[in-house]
Amino acid sequence: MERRDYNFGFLDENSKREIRRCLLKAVAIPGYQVPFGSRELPIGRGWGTGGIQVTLSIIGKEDVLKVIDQGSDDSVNAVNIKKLVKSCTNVEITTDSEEATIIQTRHRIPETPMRGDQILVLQVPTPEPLRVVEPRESVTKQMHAETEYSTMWLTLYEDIIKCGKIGISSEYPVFVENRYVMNPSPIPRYDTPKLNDSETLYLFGAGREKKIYAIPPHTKVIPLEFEDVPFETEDFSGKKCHLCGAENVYLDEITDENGNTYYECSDTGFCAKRRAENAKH
Amino acid sequence: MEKAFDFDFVFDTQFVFRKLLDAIAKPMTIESIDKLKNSFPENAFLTALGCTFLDNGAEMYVEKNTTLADTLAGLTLSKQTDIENADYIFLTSELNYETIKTIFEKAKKGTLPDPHKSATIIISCHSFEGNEDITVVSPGIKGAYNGKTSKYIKTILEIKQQLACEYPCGIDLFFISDKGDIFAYPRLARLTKEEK
Repeated sequence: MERRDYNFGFLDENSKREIRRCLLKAVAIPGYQVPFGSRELPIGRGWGTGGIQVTLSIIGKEDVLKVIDQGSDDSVNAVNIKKLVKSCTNVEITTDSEEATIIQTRHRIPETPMRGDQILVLQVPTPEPLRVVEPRESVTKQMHAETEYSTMWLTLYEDIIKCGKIGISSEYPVFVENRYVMNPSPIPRYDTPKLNDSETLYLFGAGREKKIYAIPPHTKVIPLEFEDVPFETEDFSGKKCHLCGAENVYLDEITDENGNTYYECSDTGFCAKRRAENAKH
Repeated sequence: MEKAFDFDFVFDTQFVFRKLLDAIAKPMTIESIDKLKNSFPENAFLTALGCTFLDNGAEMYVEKNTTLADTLAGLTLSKQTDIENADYIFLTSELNYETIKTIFEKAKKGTLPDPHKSATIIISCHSFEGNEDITVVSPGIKGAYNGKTSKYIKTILEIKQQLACEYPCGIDLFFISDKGDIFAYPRLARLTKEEK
């Protein structure tokens, strides 16, 4: 693809402008899903088109972009998104979370705490947290309008009755500013507390479902939990990354052909940086 | 060939948008678009904001500034409408408080299912500086913002506070000064007397 054949940021200016208007509304109403006219992109819906449209609408010449997929800088999805954005903006690409001004991510929040001058763009497959209890969009919209979340609570309660605990592993529903139940995208539970009172701005884009929503910095984001069944994250105590030795990070469990199990950092950029620092000493 | 204006619709709108995004994500934080002061022969900052917000998918109301209204309509194809239906309302000079109150009351607040169908009001004022103490709490502000501002701005914030409007419905305000400084006051922001 020749860069000169496309507008800066691939999308035409009217498309960007509409997405930008939606982003400003989304930030003003934290957790509320703003509908937008999702555009066609040279990548299939469901492969991060929401996140890409958000990134392409906000990105400028001076930005430095990092793209990760499940924490990895090198997965097919991340590499292709980076190529697309680079080819139509010529911005600098990095794998270092601290260098990036915009990080687009699928299913993880970077290990390195993000700053107030950075933006995290999350790709979202199913933005509607109530979809598990109600298939009709018109009804879920009304449920949000009326703060009618009793069926959501009931689902969590049923989980406890059946399994003894809430069995949601990722995209754990959260309450935003005591008003909206929101799907934080399929991030692991480990990342959910990072949304609360964060320094950074989180923007969520769902291309297939045509929704944009946001969490501004220092916003109250609380996982749904019962008084007697508190929210729990994954427990990695006693485990560490076999590459960099990091503890208290989100780890991927890997089993080799001999049946040996070992762990490594899910955030590959973080792990690589630690290894480089370890090698210096 | 002489250019009618110096505004770049690709990069300058992106620049302004990022300032607006930063401003609304961190209410009461001042951002500057001063570098665009010569981008248009008249009303440079307001025109730059209009070109960032508007196209034929958004309707505007411009209070008492037909030059700006005509310029924006010509550049963006945005349709002019009355206050009740406007997506973007431009208050281009300092108005009396009764007028502002009327505009706030008439402006679209959205509905409970569709709170995004509400007005954004851009308020032009000479300066943000003043001796009036304010404390503001909002998402985007760590704890509370304690600072000083002008009587004009403080009174506008008080007028907004008095609107009978249930969140998530409401209006979002952007203030812009004569020197191109911007700050935002979204619908969840509120004045408080106590420090959070």
